[in-house]
Amino acid sequence: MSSQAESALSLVQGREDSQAKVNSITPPPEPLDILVPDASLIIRSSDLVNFRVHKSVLAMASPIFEDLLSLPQPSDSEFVDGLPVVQLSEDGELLNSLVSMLYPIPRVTPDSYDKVLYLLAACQKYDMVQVQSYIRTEVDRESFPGPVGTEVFRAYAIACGKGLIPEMEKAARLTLEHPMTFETLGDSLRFFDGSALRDLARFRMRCRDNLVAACRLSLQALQGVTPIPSYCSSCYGYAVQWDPNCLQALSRNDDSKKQEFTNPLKPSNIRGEYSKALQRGVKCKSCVWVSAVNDSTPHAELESKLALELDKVHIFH
Amino acid sequence: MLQEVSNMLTSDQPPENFLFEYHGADLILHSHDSHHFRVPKSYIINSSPVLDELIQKALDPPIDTHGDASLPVIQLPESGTILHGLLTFIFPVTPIVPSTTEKAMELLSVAHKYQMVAILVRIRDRIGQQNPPSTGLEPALQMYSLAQKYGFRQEALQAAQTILKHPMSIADLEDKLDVIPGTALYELWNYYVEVRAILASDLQEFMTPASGISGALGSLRCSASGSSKIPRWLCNYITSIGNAPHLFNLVEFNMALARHMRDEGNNYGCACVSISSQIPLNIWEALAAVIHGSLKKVSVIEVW
Repeated sequence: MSSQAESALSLVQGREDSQAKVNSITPPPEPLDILVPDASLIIRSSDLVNFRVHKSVLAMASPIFEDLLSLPQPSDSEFVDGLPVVQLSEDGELLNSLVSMLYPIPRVTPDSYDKVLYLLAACQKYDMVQVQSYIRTEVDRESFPGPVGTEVFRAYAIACGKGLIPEMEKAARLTLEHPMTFETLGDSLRFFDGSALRDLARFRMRCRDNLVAACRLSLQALQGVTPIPSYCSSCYGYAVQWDPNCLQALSRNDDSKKQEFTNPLKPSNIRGEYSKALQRGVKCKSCVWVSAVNDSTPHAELESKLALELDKVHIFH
Repeated sequence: MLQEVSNMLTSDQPPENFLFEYHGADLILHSHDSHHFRVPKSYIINSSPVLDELIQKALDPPIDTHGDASLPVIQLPESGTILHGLLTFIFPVTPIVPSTTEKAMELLSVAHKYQMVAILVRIRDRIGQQNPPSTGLEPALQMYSLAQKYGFRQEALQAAQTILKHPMSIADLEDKLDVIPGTALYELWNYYVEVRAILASDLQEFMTPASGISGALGSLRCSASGSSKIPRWLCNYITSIGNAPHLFNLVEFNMALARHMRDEGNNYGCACVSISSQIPLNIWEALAAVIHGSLKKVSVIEVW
């Protein structure tokens, strides 16, 4: 249990260790603090921290709890201080954050994005739509921690495992800023299950395909004709000075496939590859294409277009 | 005396007719999917100390009986198919190994759970005879994943060594990444990293003048040799194995030599151009000995 949960504002009322759970003769500890008046229910975390709450508050926040609490109390229910106890599978630290968001008290902010994800997953499980929406807003406002560096791979894996679709999309997109190799994945690998890692790899490949397709379209727009002519306008077409296949290098092959995993997949990188391919394609140094190719302004525009193209690719397609 | 009513079945058929009927049976084993096997308990208790204990507990106090046989019934959590497979290794009948890797590993895991030491050896032998280890990447990943799941170091190591024969990167594994869970892939990557480190070190030592490679080279004098007198093409090839173990492959070795011979084709001073067939063979054997020695050093695979 972290110090955060131990401080626990007014909501952590009692704590038991696992030994106490095993030994049913040992009574639960006395409440440490009672600042939630008129509590009507105790929710107990997986690490045996008791939170005194109001049934009505839980029912308002969660239709799942509303249904659960409307059911008759089982005869073998546990009571502490006359309050029924509901055992939950979340740990005390998470419940401390969650409960703090249900009451007009200072909220307990998770200290990492992983914990934010687990909190969002708990909201999803209990159908706490408003709380989940609030947490997402806080992440967007950067009041709550977001994913940092290569942590995005782990964030993606956790979001996948918990079925958090917006977080999956967001994390998948952020992974493009990093190489996707075993080295960068590191111990995040352990969080991947099922087809999550394969889906992420395929998302990356689709992103690259989209970017390369956008480069081709851009080249066609640059020339003003479709398909690409096989002559150089400055050379009066006497010699084939322009290689219309220069973008082949960007197409999928073993090398490009490896590169898309060993390098970050950013619009600026693809734009760089595109520029190099174009420059290789212009054989005539006096060709008008030289200036077009070297002109950075259309390339900046291209980079913006590529960023938009990237937004069109989704982890689910 | 023992009638096995399954000799016409393959191991993957439904177990409706799976039945061990032993006329002198004094125990019934009941599977979780309601198949029962009438067996003499002496075979069972001699095979497994765990089942021995389970049977003793069931017999004392009063026995649970089943139907008209009035024989004690031991309820086991395994399926009829798996129990049947297991019994074929305990009794003097033709042993049956499930045809899928997954089921074969499940059978092994059950034998392991019941501490059937001798049976485990027999099952492993039989699996080896019936399904020689595949050199394919996907079956090896699947085997590794299952071996991790059931905690079998021997099978995990065997599969990991097969996987070493293939390139190991996200790009190379892309369409197979769903075969293996992340936790197993993480352990596999750690194994790979350790193998690479040990290989790099051992191969570096192998290339020192006093090492075995000098003997394998004999009097070969390559014009493109470093200070160590070892041909540069060979140094580069050996070093590359430390980074990518799948390059330890006779085809890659011959290609490295062929590239060098092509580059030095007009250089009559390079003895590699007219190398005898024995020298590459000697080099390969010496290299193989070092690499196999290195792999033995990384024999422990973490299993969950």
